[in-house]
Amino acid sequence: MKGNLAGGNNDIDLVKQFKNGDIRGYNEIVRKYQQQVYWIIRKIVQDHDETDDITQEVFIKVHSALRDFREESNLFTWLYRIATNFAINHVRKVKVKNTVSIEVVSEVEYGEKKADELIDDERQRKILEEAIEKLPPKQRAVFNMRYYDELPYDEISNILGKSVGGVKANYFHAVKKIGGYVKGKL
Amino acid sequence: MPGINKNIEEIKLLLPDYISGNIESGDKKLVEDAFENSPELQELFNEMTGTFGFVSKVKFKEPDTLYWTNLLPRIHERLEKTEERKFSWEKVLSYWKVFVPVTAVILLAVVYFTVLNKNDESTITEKKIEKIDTSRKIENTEKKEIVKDNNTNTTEQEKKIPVDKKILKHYPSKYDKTDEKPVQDKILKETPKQEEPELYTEIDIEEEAVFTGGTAGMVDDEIESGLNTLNRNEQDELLKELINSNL
Repeated sequence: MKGNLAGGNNDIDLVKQFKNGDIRGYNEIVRKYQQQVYWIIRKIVQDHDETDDITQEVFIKVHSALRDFREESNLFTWLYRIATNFAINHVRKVKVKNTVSIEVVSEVEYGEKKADELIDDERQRKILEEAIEKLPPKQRAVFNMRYYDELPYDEISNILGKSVGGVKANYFHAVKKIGGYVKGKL
Repeated sequence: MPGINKNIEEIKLLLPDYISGNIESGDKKLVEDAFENSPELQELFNEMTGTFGFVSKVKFKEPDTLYWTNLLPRIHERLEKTEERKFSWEKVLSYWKVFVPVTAVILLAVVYFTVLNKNDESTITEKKIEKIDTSRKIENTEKKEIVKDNNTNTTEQEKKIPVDKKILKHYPSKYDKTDEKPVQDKILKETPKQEEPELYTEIDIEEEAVFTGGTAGMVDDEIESGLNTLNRNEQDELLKELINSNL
């Protein structure tokens, strides 16, 4: 998914089917969007297990809220918003709990590995994960939406409830911070 | 200069999009023009290009293909659990359907029995009061009868005394005035002492009833009329007999 949040043509039919009491409509929505929802969350949260848990929570929320969903709206935009908000809230909670511990663990781990000249894919991934984890939740979301999903700024501002200028600034600072962190680790 | 600085700050925000190629042509030109005059912007461009290069190389670990097939059943499992935990108005309503009438019946029963018990208690007390009243009445009537019996004894005795007094009243000339008192005293002294009744008020009332308008009055008139029919000699004899009879 890149560039826009346009959903499939049969989304409205699936929603109607579910509203009429047919669970197959809901099942089809889950199957259709589970990967996209998973990756929205994964790029913000980073950890697979946490992502899995939040993905399930998102679809449970969708199940309870789908009856109130207005059919003129875009289903995937709605799903994207729910997934992003769930991921941001999760990051906020975890950050409050683990701010100190993450800091200590990462320093020790990479302090020992600095001697290693070889930078494999796994290590690069870990560095990037940590760099993203250092970002504030909204900057993470903006980075994910703009860099990976290539959403237009107005769409991002609509999802996050921020101004376009604020979103642009968030993206700029996110990229700068990631670069600074990666530079320090490599 | 401040105007140019502001412009550079704005252009800085366009740099990430410029590097990733996700920028409009107008903005792209603005950035390229700014590079010539701003070494700070060029330095930032080099840093960000390195960052994007690194990020683009990193690939996230994909979950197993099984994960995608198992996700929906796991979501349903969790949905069922949350539904079970969820507060259900339907369940509550079904409970209320039974609970409300049952409690209403119980409350009515409680109210009914408490009111009934109160009535019973009041009737019992009323009955007790009635019993006490009747027993008192019986006691009073018994006492009255006893008093009456006593009174009848006394009236019989007193009947004789007023006769004597009345006789004395009718015939004051026959006796000396000096002798009158000692005679009366004598009569009073010689009359047997009455036992004092226990209920004074009742006895007083009874006595009043007997002496004022009762049968004793009638007897007095009869005696008086009888005495009036006697001639003077007979009256004197009667007096003497009375005096000698030590009454």
